[in-house]
Amino acid sequence: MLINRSILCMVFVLLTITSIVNAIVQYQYTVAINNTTLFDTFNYNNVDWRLFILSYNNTSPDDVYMNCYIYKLYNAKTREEYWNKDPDLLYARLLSKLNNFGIQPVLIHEPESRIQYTSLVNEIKVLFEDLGIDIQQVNIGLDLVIVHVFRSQFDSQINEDIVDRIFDHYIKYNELRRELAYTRLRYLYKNTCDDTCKEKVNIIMNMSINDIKERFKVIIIEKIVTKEEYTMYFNETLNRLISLVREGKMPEWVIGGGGESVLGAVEIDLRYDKLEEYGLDERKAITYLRQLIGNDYPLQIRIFSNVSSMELWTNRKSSETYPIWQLYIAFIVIAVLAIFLKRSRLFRK
Amino acid sequence: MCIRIIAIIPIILLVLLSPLLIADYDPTDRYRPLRGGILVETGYWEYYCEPMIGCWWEINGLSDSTLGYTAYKNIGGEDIYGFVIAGHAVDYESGWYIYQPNYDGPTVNYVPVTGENYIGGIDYDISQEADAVFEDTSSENVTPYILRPVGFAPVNDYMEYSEVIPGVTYVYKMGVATSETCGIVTRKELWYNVSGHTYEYVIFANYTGYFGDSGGPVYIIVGSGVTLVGHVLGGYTVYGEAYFISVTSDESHLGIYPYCSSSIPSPPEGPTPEDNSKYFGR
Repeated sequence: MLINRSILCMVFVLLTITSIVNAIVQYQYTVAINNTTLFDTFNYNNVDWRLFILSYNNTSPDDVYMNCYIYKLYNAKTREEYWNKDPDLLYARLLSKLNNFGIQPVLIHEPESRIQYTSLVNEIKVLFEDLGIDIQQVNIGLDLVIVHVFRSQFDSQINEDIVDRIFDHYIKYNELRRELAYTRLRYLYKNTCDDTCKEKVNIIMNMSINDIKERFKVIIIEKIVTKEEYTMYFNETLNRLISLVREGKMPEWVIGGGGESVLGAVEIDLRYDKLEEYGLDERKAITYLRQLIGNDYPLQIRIFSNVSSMELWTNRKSSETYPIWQLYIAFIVIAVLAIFLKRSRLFRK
Repeated sequence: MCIRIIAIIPIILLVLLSPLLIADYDPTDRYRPLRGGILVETGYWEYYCEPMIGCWWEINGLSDSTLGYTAYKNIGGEDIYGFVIAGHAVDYESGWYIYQPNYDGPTVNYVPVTGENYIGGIDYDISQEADAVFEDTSSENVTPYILRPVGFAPVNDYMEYSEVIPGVTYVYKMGVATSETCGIVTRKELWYNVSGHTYEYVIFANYTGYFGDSGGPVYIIVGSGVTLVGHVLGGYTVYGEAYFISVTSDESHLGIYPYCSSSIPSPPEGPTPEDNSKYFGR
């Protein structure tokens, strides 16, 4: 009898553990994930620097060959290492640390604020053009300006002084700043800008100029190419690549590509396992790619070990993603067993 | 001791389940007219005949995914309405049947196209490059809304691949496995090869997802509605990157365009969308 009771107890405990694990998994996906990005008014742009220049110089390619910047992602052992490897992921990580991002004009609600957004962008463009620097695009965020510039005589002209000069333009547009704050908060509160959200907007709007200035950040992204190189060869390279794909001439060891790297290069992803299969090393592969493409435009090459962990998110087993039903079943089983135990003799003893 | 444990279990479960039980809108419910963000089940069926027994349909596999968005295409001056689901949720060669939310037909000698939940599987266009299936239906059967955890949101507009900016475009995705999650676009590629198939206009972002989310809408929130950006493909889960297909791919390979709310006067049937002033009141 004692053994029976122990077994039943163990069954209950196991069921409970299973239920708890399932509930935690479901909770993680449905609630916690959504909350992790919730905007903390006092926790945006909280970094030491005022100006961050993202350029080829502060990324670390594993190799540079034939104007190709090679990032061996198969060497990344952890997720963190992976996200620090290539410039695009580094940029995303940089924004994530700021708990901020550029806001597209299309997201801004008030038409007047969109006009102010355009005016500010134009003023920043003029500011840089006066320094002889060609601009590709400018993105504005809450107390954040991201400027994409083409390669030029850059280093000698840009220092922290530029942050104050951009700030002088930014601070004129108080209504735009209010709108940026609303947009940011509405977005992160999934449009439910209730009293708490409004309170946060008020806190942001009531900051002193010095506080805003302290929080204000500028990211300058220096492209790897000049305006002329970009204009003449970027689209040509893309068109060549896409026609190779559509003609079925792209080698098997190329997983994908055709994107514009944050530094302006054309992205191409390779499979290390397939390169090995074909007896190629990275340099031989790049030489072959260069012949296929037929120009010298910079390429950002990412090499993956294999792609077995790239998933398609269709669930081929119905109900597996709904542990809540398992919970209900577990709950019913527990209830039935509890009633059975209460009525059984062995329990009364 | 054991009795005490048993008594405590329901309380623990209730506490753990409480955040789930208060969910307002469940994507696994039945929704008509059809809209984005809800559960669809696709089933592959075969017809068998045995001399002494007769003939019957047999199911060879089911898969859960998410309805992406409602769309239309213009053929000979006439708009044909329908909905989009993930291409890899169906069999490219054999053909599948589609149900919302799940297959509800009889279980013996069943015919797969019966049941109230049957929504298509015969008149569809498919594109492997766009990972999309466009199923024709009538305009009354679809509505230009998507389901979000806070209610229904009108699809007001859509954003082309060229307008998506890495580091700037902040997207949400809705899926039946992980509901609504969000993240920033990290990069975009003109083509990408996953599991032996080449997809075009692929965009990468760092939102979270899981099996069952495929096909789900990816959007940005603008005003009281959403601007559609694409539909879920999958993820490089080990490294926390997800990827989705831009609406531009559906346009170029299937000739379809997202059905936007600007052309309809009233909201859809069912629970009313949340009062917009609640979200946007200033």
